[in-house]
Amino acid sequence: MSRAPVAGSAVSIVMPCLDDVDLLERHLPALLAEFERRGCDDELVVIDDTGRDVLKSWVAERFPGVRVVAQPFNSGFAQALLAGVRLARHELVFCMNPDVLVHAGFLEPLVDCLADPAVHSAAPRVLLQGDPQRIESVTEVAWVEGVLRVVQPALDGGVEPYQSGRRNVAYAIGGTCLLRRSEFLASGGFDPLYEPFYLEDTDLGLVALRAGRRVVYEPASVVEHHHRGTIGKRIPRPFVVAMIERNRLLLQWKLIDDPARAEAHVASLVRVATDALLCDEREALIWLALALDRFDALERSRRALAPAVVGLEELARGKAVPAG
Amino acid sequence: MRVCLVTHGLPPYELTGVENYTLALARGLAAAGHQVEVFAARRAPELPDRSLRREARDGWAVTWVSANSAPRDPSEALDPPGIVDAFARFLDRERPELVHFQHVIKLGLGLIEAAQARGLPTVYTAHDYYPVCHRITLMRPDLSRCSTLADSSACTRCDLALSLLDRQPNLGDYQIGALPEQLEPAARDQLGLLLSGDEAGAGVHPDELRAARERRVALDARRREVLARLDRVLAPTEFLALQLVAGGVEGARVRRLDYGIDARDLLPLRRAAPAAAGRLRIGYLGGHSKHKGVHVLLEAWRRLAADAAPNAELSIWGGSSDAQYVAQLVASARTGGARWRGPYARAELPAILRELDLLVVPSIWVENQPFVIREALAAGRPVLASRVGALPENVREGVDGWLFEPGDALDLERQLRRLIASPELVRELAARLEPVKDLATHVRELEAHYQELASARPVDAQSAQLPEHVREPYARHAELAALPTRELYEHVLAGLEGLAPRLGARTPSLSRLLADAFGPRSRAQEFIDDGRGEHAWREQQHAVDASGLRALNERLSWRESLLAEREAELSWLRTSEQGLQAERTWLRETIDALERERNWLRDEHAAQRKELDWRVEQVGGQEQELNWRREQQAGLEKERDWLREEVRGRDFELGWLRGDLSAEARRLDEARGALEARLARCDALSREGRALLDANPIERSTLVRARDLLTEQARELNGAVASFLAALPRAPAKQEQGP
Repeated sequence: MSRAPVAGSAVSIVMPCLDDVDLLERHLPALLAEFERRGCDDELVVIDDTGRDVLKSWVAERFPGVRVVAQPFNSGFAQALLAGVRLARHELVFCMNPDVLVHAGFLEPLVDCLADPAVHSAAPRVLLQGDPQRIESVTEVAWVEGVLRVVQPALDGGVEPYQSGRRNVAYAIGGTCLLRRSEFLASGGFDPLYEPFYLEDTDLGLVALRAGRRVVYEPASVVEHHHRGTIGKRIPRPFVVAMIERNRLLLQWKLIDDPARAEAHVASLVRVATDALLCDEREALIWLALALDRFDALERSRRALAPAVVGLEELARGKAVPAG
Repeated sequence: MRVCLVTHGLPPYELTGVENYTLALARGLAAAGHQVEVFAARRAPELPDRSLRREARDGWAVTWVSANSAPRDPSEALDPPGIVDAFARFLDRERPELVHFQHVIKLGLGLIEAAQARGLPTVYTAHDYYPVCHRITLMRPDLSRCSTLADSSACTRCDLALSLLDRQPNLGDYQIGALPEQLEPAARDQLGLLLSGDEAGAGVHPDELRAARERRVALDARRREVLARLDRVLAPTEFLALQLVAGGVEGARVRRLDYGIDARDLLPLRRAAPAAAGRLRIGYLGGHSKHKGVHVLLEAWRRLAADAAPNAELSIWGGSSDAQYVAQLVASARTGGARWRGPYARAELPAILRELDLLVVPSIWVENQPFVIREALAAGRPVLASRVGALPENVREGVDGWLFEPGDALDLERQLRRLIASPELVRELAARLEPVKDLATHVRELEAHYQELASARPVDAQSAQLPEHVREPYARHAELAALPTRELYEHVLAGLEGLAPRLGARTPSLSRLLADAFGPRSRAQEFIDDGRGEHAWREQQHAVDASGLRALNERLSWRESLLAEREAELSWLRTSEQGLQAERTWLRETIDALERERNWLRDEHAAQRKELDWRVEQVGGQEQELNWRREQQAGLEKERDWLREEVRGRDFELGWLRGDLSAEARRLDEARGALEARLARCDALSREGRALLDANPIERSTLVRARDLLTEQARELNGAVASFLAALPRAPAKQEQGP
């Protein structure tokens, strides 16, 4: 485990991008102003994941001093982020999507969270589309009908309990989380099991919890997530949904550690498939088939897991996420 | 390739040409390694309407859609409600890569749209004229040939004519048309007027005509619009291809592709022995609809039966839903000495053709490519067919058989007589018949069309726009999405079998899996419960329906009796109507005559009035004259009275004078007697003088003078006597009465 960073430590912001210049134009000024305000030698590393090196000149012209590194080919969020973290100069890395708008003072509370070595990563209060009544970053996991599901209790109202008070959550959203560079690189970054996208951050958080670490939600740090990023804009929705559902299955297959639960889970999947057949819900069958395609990668991921300190059952029951 | 065949029916429920072809094609494509899913309609009253049932056959499968409800109007006939949704479910489940429509009647045009909405290539085999004729056959309801294409006015007349037939009793199945002899003279005339374009003369109200035309224009536009979007239209014959293009189907989409048949069971018949003892065995095989012209064949047979009996026989095979027409055919067959054999199954065909030497196809409609001709030719049996539609393409004169004029029993009789007299013509031609295209060849030709269309599909444009790292999983997603639901399910179950060990768990037992998949909390159980509930409800409903049905049957009987009465009444009314119409005509003529007479009378009256005026004037003058005459009469009466008095006086005087006159007469009579005596004396003297003269030679001239003198004296005396006598009043026979 890395040494605890101290408050006031400089932060590297790593931002994987495609040619989202409109988002950069809209959101970078607030971030750079925050750097200015903090005066901590924070840095922004923009990773151009277009594979065509289209951002460098544009960013240099508008935001001199921002570092842009072009990937030789388009490799997706996880790989681009990993490349950026490798290039980061500071131990604390804030992973950031270009469709995120930061509020002033968002970094200090997060940096403070990571002063605790038990904390694996920290998540700000993420306001969905900027709406204070919709918080995206309060995350839990639970078994629903034998299937592990992510739950976001403050996503549609009911935000009051989450306005203040740091608390443990299941994971930090990959596009807005603070973590340690050394730890992230040591783990190999996000698990490629989930490529091309989605739930890699959930996996990162749950693996940390499984290892006895904590992921912290810090409401004092506020950002807005405007969901105008790459995936929604460029990729057909049915495929996006398929990847989410496939990865949901892969996540639990990777982490499931109780044989009885596993047996019940497989039986429940047979039921899910049968129901899908009966109800003409083809998509559910496609999701299952896509997940089953990933057996080899799954086995690699399971082999790479360290012995569990906290079992998935406990995580899903919330026992591993007591208030911090 | 996963190929979907769409048809309105399939054996064993439907047994005619298109359905049998689809069955053979499904088998042929499956044999060629394709996955074949047939979507077919059938009536299944025991199932909910529009429900789907899949049956696996030998290497292919059919999904039946229950089509229990009849269309309520022409629009529903074109697009039966609910079937397109069922077809969409079928397509989403079965994921064909191409849809080959054999027919869309009973199913709807929406099926083509549903396939195209999923980006599937669409092929349509035109087995008939449906794309250009809503009646399918290019025949009008009077069973005459329609030569107008893409003319909604003409099509409207067919609609109206069919409505007219709807109102005629006892026509049997008349959807294709009715024979003239089936119609009452008035209805026949009305039908003739209507189809010749005299809608008003046929009694069609202008509003009805307008509404019918608008409806037909909309329906035809819908059919044309959907069919125009088909990727390919296959026409088995040149004739049909030409009709399609003439009717508005884009020529570039139309391709000629004649059928191939699976004739393996028929080929051995080519070597079968010819008819025994030269007796020609003639047969008809097929449906018994009027447009198939079986009545023409039976009429020709009736004409030559007596002559043909020792040397030929005729068998009629097949069936029909037109019981009335069939009854007529059976009676004709019996009268003419033909053998009535009834319906047959395809499996019986080799045995039937073995018993025949010559097949007759007497159709009166523009046939396309009847399978029975191909089957007969494959079995080495020449064909005698009508020279109509595409039949001359199928039966080349002197190559595959012979042709006769459609509907012409005399010409058919002549041809039959010739072949019966020379059966060696049939045997010789049979020996020369060319092989018929087989199903495998036909399937290969179809495959070429399928491949061409599938490869012409635009690539997924969205895929090219994706970020690179997404493309591979995206392609895999697309690959899985293209699998039929059933295969996906099987794929998933197979994968799940290997999952448990990888998760460090035992594979769940079968009982566990079943309990989970179909246990109390499963949706399958919900389905079963719902199904059970629905079944109970349906049974209850069925009981209600049965009760309702009984009531309806009773009501139906009552209605039928009422209908019979109404029909009798209608018949009477028709007769009355005819009488009234005749009377109306007579009355109109009478009115015309009366009007003419009235006008004449008016003229006459005016003339008479003039004459009357003149006569009144005349009468005025005559009255004056009358008065004058009365006055004259009075004067005359006075004069008469006076004259009467005068007459009486004169009578009296006359009486007196008569008396006096009698005395004078007597004296005169005496004087006359004296004169006559004197005269006689003169005559005697004269005679004496003449004698003296003759006797005495006196100077003749002196004597002549004396004689002339005497003669002159005698004449004068006679004149005096006559004058005297004439002047005498005659004595009256009796006394005259005075006034």
